Amino acid sequence: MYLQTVGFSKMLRVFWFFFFFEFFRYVVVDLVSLIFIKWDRYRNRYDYLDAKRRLWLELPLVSIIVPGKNEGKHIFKLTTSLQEQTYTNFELIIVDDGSDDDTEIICKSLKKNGYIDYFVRNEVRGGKASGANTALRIAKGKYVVHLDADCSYDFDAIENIIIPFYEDRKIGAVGGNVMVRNYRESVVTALQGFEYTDAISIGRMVSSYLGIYRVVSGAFGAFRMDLLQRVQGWDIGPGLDGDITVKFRKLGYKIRFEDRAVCQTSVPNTFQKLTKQRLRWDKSLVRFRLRKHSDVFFPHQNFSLSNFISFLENITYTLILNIKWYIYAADMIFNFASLLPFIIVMNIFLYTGANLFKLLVFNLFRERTNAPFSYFLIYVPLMVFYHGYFLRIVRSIAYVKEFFFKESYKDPWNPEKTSIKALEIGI
Amino acid sequence: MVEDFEKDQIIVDGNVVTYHNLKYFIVEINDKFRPDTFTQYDVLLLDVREESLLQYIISQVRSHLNPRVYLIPIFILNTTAYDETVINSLSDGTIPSINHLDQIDPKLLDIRARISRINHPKVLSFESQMINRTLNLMYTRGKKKLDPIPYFHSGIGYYYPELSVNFNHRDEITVLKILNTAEDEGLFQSEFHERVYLCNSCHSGYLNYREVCPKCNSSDATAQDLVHHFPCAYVGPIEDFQNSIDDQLDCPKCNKTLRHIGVDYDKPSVLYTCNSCHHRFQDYYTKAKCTTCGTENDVEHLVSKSIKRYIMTKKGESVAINGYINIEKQLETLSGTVTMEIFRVLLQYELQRLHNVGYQTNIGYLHVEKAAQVGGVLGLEKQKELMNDLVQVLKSNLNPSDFVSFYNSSTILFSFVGTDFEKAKSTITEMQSLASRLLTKSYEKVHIGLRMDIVSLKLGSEVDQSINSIVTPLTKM
Repeated sequence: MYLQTVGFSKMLRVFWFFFFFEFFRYVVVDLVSLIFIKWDRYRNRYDYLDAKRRLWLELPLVSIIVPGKNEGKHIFKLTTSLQEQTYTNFELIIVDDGSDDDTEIICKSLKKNGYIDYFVRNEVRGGKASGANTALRIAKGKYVVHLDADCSYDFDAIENIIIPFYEDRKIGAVGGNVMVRNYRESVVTALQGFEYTDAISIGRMVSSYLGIYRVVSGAFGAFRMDLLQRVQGWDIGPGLDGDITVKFRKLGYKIRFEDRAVCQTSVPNTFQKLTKQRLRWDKSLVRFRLRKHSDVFFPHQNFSLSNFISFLENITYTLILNIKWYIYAADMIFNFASLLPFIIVMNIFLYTGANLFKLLVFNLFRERTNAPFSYFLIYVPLMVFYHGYFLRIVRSIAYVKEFFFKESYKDPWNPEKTSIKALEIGI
Repeated sequence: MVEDFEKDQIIVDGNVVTYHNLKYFIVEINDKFRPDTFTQYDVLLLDVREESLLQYIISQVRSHLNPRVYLIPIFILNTTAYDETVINSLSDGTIPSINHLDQIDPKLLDIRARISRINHPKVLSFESQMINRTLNLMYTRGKKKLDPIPYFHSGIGYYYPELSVNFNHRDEITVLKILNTAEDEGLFQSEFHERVYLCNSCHSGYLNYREVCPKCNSSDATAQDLVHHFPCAYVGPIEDFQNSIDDQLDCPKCNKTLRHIGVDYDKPSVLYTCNSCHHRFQDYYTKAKCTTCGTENDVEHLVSKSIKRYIMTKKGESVAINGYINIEKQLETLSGTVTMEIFRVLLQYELQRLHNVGYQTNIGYLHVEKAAQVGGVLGLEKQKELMNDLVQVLKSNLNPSDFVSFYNSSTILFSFVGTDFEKAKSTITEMQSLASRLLTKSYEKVHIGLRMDIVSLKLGSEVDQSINSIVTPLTKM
């Protein structure tokens, strides 16, 4: 009706933001990529089986490292899910980063009973990166799998995350597929469940296919040991998982997302906790992409086009479009003030339609889900507000805080002693 | 007067001294040591200087089977006292020379008076025998308390002189079991003294507590401080930061110089590297290596035993005089056996039936020779196992209607109802050979001699008479 009344050009003028950026990138590009991924997977199915066969033939030692503070309560569940693994040639290294609860007692008991191979306790907290690097010091495996203690893993997760290394020698790191375990707990967790299923999981499949995959999740990521040693481990966070992925890319290695390697995690169950988490994540974009690794944008000896595009896409869709959205909002307010209620309703309609389409159609491309997609149907309308308003506002706040106040260096996620030093030398 | 004069005179005839009508035997280093012959004497005088030999002689005497030997008063001819536990605890004193025999007269009189009051019932149970010997020795020496003495040569670290002397240090755990039994029987009261931890495999207290590598049990490891550089989160041992040019510490990751601990770096943990298997660990395991059998024990799996001080009760004192006979209750509960009371009742019925119908009834026995020594070698649990094995051999060869009972812990009585005597006799021979083969196979550590026979019940005889006709010859062996 509206389209007939105002015409197609007017429609694009009002909803340009949706059509030119959001719909194109997150529906069209994703769908086309998913079709190609499906096709490639079918075409290369024998290569995959061959890679799997070579993995089992070589049977390399895999070092599973789990740094963390006050994670003792999760460790037994973690070890149980690791004991079920199809791939068993691994050593489990737990690093207790200055816990002040019963973590030490629990882990020592588990070690004594053979559930843990190595347990190292740092009396003083040094931060996640130092914990991971301590584990790295002990690790003897050919591959290192970094896990979060509060996650649990599919019985074939370790095997599936290592196979890609045997598919392509240039793969330096593989990210696992993180799913939301507690998606039924509250509206907040359900929205994140939807987000992980759709935007994060599908988004990473696509970005991995396009060669611009940026963050190997700290909850479940595998790395080649020789490359970890070359970059001398993790740098101080927050956002250390994204940082190390960039360092691997800079070395010229590919990063792969493996959707068949599944891990489940518990996500924040209140908006307050979620805001805190996302502020931390979003600040790291400014800190690491725009400051620490800004050299990716400039021509130099080791310039890489894929890294450039990866960064550009990331910056464009998270930072620039974020700013541009406000421009769009201003444009609408000033130029189409009388149509505002209609524009808002129409936007909701368009985004909901796109989300519904993605939920239904992309489901055909998912090989493993932990929740029936039908469960998320009732949350489709809410996703507009979640993505379009809540996450956008949180992101904006994070950018401002980091751009102007370098807030990430004050984040208690890291001990103050390390943040001070990181700030001093500007990393 | 002449008699009194002779009594007061010390008459020396070779190694035998006569004084106050008592015969003292002087044991010298050159003597061929034969404790069996000591029954001829009233007192032993040990003219031996070397401590280990002295200790050996005393131990041999006090652990002898014959009460006339193990209770004999022992004095040492020496001017100085000894520090050695066994010597001090199990001898009755020292005298400078045989010219000073009058000094020990009162003590000797008392010991001999007490010895004369003691009855020695024939006891076949090893456990009972040990309890009797202990109580006898304590009573005759006027001792009320049995104190555990810390003793280096003891397998469990503590020595109960009157009892432990009967055991070599590998079997000393049995001492604690016997004392517990005696306490349960009300012969002793106890007070807690100490707790000891023994090897889980051989019950020895000779344990070497060591901090070892959790993987290979080696105690050879090198400690390394892990250094954490704050700015770049590098973690590594201090050597990573040392350079060959100067004494500065430079970070291998970001090349910055480490200046101030706590400000730009710290040492959050220590790692040990095992020099044997190269395993890296932060906490040693504590293990207790048994120096006797070599077992590596986890400390939480060590056998924990209370060491108690035992005080003889009135009942204990009475038992010391009258003897302790324990038909072991444990044995009565072995499957397929009946108690002696029931055995007697059943036998009474059999005799009655014999009287009424005049058919053939036999009663047999199975006797373990030298049960006390066998028990000493096997230990209580194994001994019980042995008796159980023998009961099973009997049960599988007897008629279901036959009944089996323990007369004591080394003698089993059984009925052989309605079988011709000659046939029963040949069955018994077969059973004996079968049982002997089984014992040779299953109990390699010790030779176990078995005696089996059968007696035909006579018309008109009494139950006790019948039983006595069997067991009396056994108790005299």
